Amino acid sequence: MNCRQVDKYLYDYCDDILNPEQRAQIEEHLLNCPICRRIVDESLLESTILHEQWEIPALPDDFTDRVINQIACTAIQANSSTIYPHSQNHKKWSRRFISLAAMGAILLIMLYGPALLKNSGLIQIADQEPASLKTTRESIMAGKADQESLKAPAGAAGSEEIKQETANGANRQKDQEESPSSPAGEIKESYGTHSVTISNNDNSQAQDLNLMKAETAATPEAFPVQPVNLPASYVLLNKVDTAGSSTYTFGRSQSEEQIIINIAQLPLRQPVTSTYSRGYYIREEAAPAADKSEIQSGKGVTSPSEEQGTKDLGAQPQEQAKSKALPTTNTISYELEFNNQKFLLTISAKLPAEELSMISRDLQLSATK
Amino acid sequence: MISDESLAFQSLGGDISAFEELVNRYKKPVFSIVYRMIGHYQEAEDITQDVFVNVYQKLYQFDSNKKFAPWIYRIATNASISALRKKKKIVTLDFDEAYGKAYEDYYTAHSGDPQLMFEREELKHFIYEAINELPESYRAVVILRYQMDLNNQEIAEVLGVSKENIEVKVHRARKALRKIVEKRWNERGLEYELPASR
Repeated sequence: MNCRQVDKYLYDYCDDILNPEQRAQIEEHLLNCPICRRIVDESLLESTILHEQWEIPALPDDFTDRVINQIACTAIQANSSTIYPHSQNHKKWSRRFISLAAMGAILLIMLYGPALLKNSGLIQIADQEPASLKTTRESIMAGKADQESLKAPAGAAGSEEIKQETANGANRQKDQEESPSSPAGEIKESYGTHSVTISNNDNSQAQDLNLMKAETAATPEAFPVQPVNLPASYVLLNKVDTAGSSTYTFGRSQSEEQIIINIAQLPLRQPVTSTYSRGYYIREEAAPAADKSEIQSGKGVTSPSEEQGTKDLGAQPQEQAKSKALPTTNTISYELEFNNQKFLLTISAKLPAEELSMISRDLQLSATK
Repeated sequence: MISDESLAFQSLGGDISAFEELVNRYKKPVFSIVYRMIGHYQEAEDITQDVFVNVYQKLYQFDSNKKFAPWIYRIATNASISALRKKKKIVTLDFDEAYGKAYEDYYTAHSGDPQLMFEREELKHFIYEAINELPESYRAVVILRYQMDLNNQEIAEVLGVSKENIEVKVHRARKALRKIVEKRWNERGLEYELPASR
């Protein structure tokens, strides 16, 4: 072993972690090399001093209690969503993430933008999707007799692919309204493998029912809960599962009365302790006098998705039940807890407020089989 | 005695008394690491407290198939390094008097050759100060190796690097330490000739 190798293993030798063979080789070299001998001696002294335990002052006696208290305080702060030190880091990371996401988006646009522009049909569909979605929801919820013709662009094979990818659940899958080339009174829908053609006729309920069935057919997952305990006279007409919500339509056999119940799964914001509680209010709107049997699209009814977005869930319960006789559409919206999960229920029906209130009180949730 | 890993698992399930036991078991070694890294009592105490809160919040990240000690030492070391980087230029100025006191006490308590003892204790003082002038990563390696008595493999687990990397770091840290001590020694007008080599 030479001086260079001794230097390599110098501190391992001083810390006594070399194997006996290596140790013997170093000691053999040290016998004949006073320079290395001196360096090793100095390093040995340094190692000895380094190994000597420093005097560490004791922590206060109540240190453990303080830690536990701080943990409890931090937990409370976290639950009440107040700012605590870690949130600053989260904010920093959020800003970084947004910057990165923006850069990524710009890159994607630069890479794929020209290709998208070449196929203007795709952009057209993407632009028109929200409008058609709104129309569909209104149509489903209001039960209007839609005489307008809806038709998919003929031969838009590329657009079908895009729609299949983006719809994912198919509740948004609707086509352009008033297409000049489409035959009146026909709806054509494409769901990849699912293709549904609905003949338009005077029975708007049948049309809406078919629309719902088409959507249900393409829904990948069943919703975890279902409404139970409705009056026996109501039978389930239809059920539509979408991502995070489910809409049930109940009707009476000898009547046109319908109850539409939308159940939306809410994010679990804090541990749920009670098992069944509710606070609700009634939204009451008069139906147009000119048409008592049907409600015009976009009037008189708010769709469940809109309800979910606009209602203040923590609002004080209010009941504005005023009229029994008028054929009005009332909407009750409230939260229910089931299996430690919160759900937002929105019940709409052309029923007197008191009756709707009674139905909502009896209504319960059960797990979907 | 219930293992640290089981206590961590129980703490994760909401058993606060299990976490209390973990704090009692680890408050001394964690404070030792932090105090040696930081060199200031009050700040080290605050950081140690933050380390345990951090540990509690990150318990879900702990792999119960691994040892708890390296994991908590890692959090303590990283917290100390972060704190040092925030106040990099203040460290040596803000040095705790307890550091010097330890060597003074040792000097007065030991008789023998006064000159040799003085020089040895002076060297010790230089070494302690030199440790605090080392880059944070070297300082962590030196403290874990010599004060916490961890082997290279254990240090590698704590710092999340390879054992070979630690071997190299220990060597470089010791070389850097020697250079600083030698400089201090020479500033005193003495040739760097350690008491042991006379």
